[in-house]
Amino acid sequence: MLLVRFDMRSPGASPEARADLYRAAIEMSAWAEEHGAVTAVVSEHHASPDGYLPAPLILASAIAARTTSLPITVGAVLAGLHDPVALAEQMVVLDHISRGRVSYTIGLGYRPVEYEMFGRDFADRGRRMDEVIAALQAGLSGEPFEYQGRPVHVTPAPYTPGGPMLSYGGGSLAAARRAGRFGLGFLGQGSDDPAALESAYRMAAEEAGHQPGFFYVPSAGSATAVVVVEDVDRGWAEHGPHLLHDAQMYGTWVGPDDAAEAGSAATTVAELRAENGNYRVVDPEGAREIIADQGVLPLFPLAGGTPPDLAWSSLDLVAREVLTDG
Amino acid sequence: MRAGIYLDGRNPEPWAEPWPDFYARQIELVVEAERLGADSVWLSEHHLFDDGYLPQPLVLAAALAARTERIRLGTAVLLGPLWNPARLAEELALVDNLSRGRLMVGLGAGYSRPEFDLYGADPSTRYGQTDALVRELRRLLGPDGPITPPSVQRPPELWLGYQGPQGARRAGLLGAPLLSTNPTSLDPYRAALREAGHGDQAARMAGVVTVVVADDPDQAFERVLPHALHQINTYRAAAAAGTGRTPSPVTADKLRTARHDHTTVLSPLEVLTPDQTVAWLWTKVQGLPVEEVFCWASVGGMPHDLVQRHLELWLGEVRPAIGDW
Repeated sequence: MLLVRFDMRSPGASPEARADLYRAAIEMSAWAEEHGAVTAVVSEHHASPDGYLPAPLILASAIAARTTSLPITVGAVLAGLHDPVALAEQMVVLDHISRGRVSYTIGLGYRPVEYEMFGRDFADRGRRMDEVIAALQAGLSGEPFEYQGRPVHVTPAPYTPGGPMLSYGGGSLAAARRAGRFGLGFLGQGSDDPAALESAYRMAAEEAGHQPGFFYVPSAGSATAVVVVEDVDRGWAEHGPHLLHDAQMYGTWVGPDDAAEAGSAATTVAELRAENGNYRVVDPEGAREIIADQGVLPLFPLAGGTPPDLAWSSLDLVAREVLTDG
Repeated sequence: MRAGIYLDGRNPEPWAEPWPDFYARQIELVVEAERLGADSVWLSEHHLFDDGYLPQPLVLAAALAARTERIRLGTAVLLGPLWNPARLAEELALVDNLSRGRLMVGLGAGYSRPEFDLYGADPSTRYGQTDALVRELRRLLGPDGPITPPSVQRPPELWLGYQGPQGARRAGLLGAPLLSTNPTSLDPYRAALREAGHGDQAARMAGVVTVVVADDPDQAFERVLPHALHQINTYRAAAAAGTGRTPSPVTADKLRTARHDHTTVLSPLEVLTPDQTVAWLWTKVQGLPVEEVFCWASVGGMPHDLVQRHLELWLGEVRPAIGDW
């Protein structure tokens, strides 16, 4: 069991190198499909100097065009930064192109600069998110409705009856309540008190008359970005700087007080390795242990602009020595 | 002169194919067009059409980028006033990366009132907004632009889909290539290019040609006719909606008459043999700086056998014959 995740950070990449990374992400998704991956995950952030993927539905569409059965997850889609009419239309076109294989985890986002970029009020983002989710749900129903007093009808109707699956992701009680209120499944970020999130989620769902959906909060120290190598020391030397870039960028975004949310407080590759947390470089035996513990091996092959050749050598090893021997 | 195809995502009743098959077929059609030598595929944007008209061409463009190697991917056109410039620039940059620099961006001002209402956009300043969008995209996606990741082409080629002489003047002032083959546009376009210091040589045109190529044009014409009527009349209805005007529908007889009337500039539908198509194209483009023409792969959901033959003849016979124009 594995999943692959792509966020397309590529610090300092030349135009050719960046286009190579995009090609590799698509080919690696096809590889993941061949090897029975549960999903490919793509995510959204804006105005990141390392080129973080700003338009995940666009990459998801390219992946969908080169695969036939692989489920694709857009997580998170920062729906509050989008016009919900345009987003619903894009989801519908992608629903057709993928034949119903793309689902979404909606996230609020936490970087004011992203809200500024789209002229949205950061302080008002919760209220706007409520409005956007309601409009998305109405738009994906295939029926006409009103949004901000304007007549809206998203055409064509979606491939998936009722529209593609939406869930909501976040780490706060407010996020759990919002998911419950709109009848969405909830995907928690690492939390100190998952039980409190779950009870908030269930209560909000019941109050709004929804059957509670799926609720999942991964435990705080679980592996989320794994690289599999023959030799772990050498693997940290080769892959570590790329993983560290990823960890440090998230760290910058959430601020020094929220290291738990960022997933790491490391400032060196050695510190990242010592954390033995979200970021792991393991040998095939270690990969099998992660599968045994977590049920799935979360691969992040192009993390921090990892050169495709280096990433492929890790994936080849996974195919040869992890997936065959289990 | 280059030759491309044009897709609109229309799947109209009563000829609609099952939606689950529709987009897979659109992608296969473009893969086949590339194999047959097409230089480009252009995608259109419209909203609120009952036939499912493609509302988000860049999502389809990304899928096409992943399934093709060489063919250029164009928009003809994106409706400028409906887009947030930063969002659009990001999505264009992504498609340009996925296609390794094969993107061409055609922008238009839009004309259907309900589409403006759908996005809360102001139709009264739509040309000004679209001109401003061109300048903003040049900045955002230019060599020093802030968009991350940057596009491969900095910026991608930005075309203006302005049809009349006023629009041609705007395109000329912006020094932009013009997505129109309207001969009455050339003089104002060139004059504006000169006025803005770009020079006559900067004049570049491309555009849609409303032709279906067939072995037996008379028979094919009658089969395409109901589809062409759907296409033309739904465009007219969209243009009139919300204006208080009543659209004047085109009838089958009108199209039959127009077919042999070469005095009209923009014929609504021509169904021709490859030789006739080449001759007809010459009358349309001679004396104009037209570097590329493209035709609907399918007019209003026309029968698959006609689509297939149309593409074989357009790309296999017409394209080679016009290549050195």
